[in-house]
Amino acid sequence: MVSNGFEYDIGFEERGESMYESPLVVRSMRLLRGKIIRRAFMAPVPTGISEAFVSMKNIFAPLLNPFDWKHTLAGILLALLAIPSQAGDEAQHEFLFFPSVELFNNTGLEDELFDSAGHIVSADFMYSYSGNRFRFLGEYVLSTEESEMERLVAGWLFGEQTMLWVGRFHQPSKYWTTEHHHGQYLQTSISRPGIEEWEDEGGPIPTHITGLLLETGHIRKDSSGYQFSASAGFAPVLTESGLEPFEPWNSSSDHGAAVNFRLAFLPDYFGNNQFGILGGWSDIEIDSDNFASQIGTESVEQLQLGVYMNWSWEQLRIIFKVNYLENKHIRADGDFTDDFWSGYIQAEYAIGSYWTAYGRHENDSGEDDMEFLRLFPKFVGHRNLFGVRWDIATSHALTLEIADTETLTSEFGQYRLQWSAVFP
Amino acid sequence: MSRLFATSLTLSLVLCWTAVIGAEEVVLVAGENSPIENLSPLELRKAYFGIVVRYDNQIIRPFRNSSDSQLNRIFLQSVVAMSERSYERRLFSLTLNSGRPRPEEFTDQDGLVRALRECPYCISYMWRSDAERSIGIKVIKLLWQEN
Repeated sequence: MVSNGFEYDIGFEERGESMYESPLVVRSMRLLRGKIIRRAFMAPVPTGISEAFVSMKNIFAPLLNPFDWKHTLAGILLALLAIPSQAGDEAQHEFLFFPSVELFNNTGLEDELFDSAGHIVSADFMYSYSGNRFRFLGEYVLSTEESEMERLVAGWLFGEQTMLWVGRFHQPSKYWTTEHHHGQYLQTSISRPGIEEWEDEGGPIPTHITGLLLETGHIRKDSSGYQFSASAGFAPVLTESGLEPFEPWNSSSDHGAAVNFRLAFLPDYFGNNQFGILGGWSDIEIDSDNFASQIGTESVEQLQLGVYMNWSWEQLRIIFKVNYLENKHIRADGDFTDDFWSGYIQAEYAIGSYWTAYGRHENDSGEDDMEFLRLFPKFVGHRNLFGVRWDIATSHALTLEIADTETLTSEFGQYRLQWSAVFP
Repeated sequence: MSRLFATSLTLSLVLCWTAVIGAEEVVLVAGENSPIENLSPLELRKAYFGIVVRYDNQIIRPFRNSSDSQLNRIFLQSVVAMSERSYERRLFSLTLNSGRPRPEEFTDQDGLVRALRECPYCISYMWRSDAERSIGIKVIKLLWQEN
């Protein structure tokens, strides 16, 4: 059986085999022992105009479905636009648009998990409504890879700086994510570190949580201060294609629980410089279509703790993070735990007003022995990269990036060229 | 005699010009009906970074005055203490992160004055000479003075 890009064997009972004797299951079990990978059938990159048209049609298809939840969302947005007439002058609207176009080429691929070459066209839309106390925020990504409501939250402001949000959000312990979200223009590099990667790009830590998010801060008289964020809600489940966030509008969507936090100190509350601690706990349910479920894993309880820093000295900027992850596999035949470290350091050097050179080193400890990481074949555990960004005009940038990348099963070179911008 | 007169006139003009330049000031302004009496430097900085600052329980809305590049440089230096590029990127980041509204920007000073007159809890900054010439505007405090 081929489902969603992966091959599964459901004929073992008809052949009189037990599940553990089925060749494919044995092969997949060997994957969990670090010996072999699953065969993936990747969608081909559109090569002609007709294929590109079909690709674009597929992207817009969810938007054209009259019964889709997005129409409900559009109704909510229109209702919010009507609020200012009732709330007076205090209501404010913000709209940001982050387009990007990326060309990439991967050389020396040893498996089919990644495309060898192609392009990614992406548009990130952010809208927010701010009243006296009430705030609404939505972020939607439309690209050649996906069409997804990334964040959709409504919040209430207590005091000057304490917001309580409810909805779907990016959880606070992923620093890179909560700093840049999908605003490609705002991050200097084209790629993001593997440990910070989105769920559908092989990220092993949940990003999208549906629940409550508290954000607060305190500014001292000398302009230094701290920020604290904490969240509690529904975690993604682990399906055959990786972590899949809980979708409240999908009745078949499952979930566990997740709590996360980040505490940051900022020497200048209004600037970028900060360091802090972060952590979280997630109960990641295993979907029945994931192979781990077939060998008896019911869920994984993931604990993560880390420290991070984002600091600038004149032209030099350092972004650094180290994570410790412990994964407890809940299984009918007995629980077991594995753990690993993962970290990255990115150095950026501004040359004049328009050029920035940067490099990043990513590493982790012992993923060959980690059963949990073997469930994420696209996870990038090791990478060294170098890049140059040219801010060609106000709010426009061109970036070139070259990387030596290593996943569990493959080591290859990555070449990327990207244009990114922000409007208005 | 005429040479002495010309020299004296030139010297007087130079002194007057120096005096005028020396008196260049940037002031915080609001509409003349605004109840805002004063704001601390920290409150002002908060407002220009989208953090909620209240006066009489009303949210203060800051306007950027981009009608003059020299004025803009002084604003960046003395109010937000950042380069233009850093400030713009920080605002984009804060807005994307939590939906904070960015300060509304005016490139036309007449439009800015009209907006301030209509909004009692809105603030901005301008040259003192422009503020004194504008009808319906009051000066709240001095922000910057040329040494």
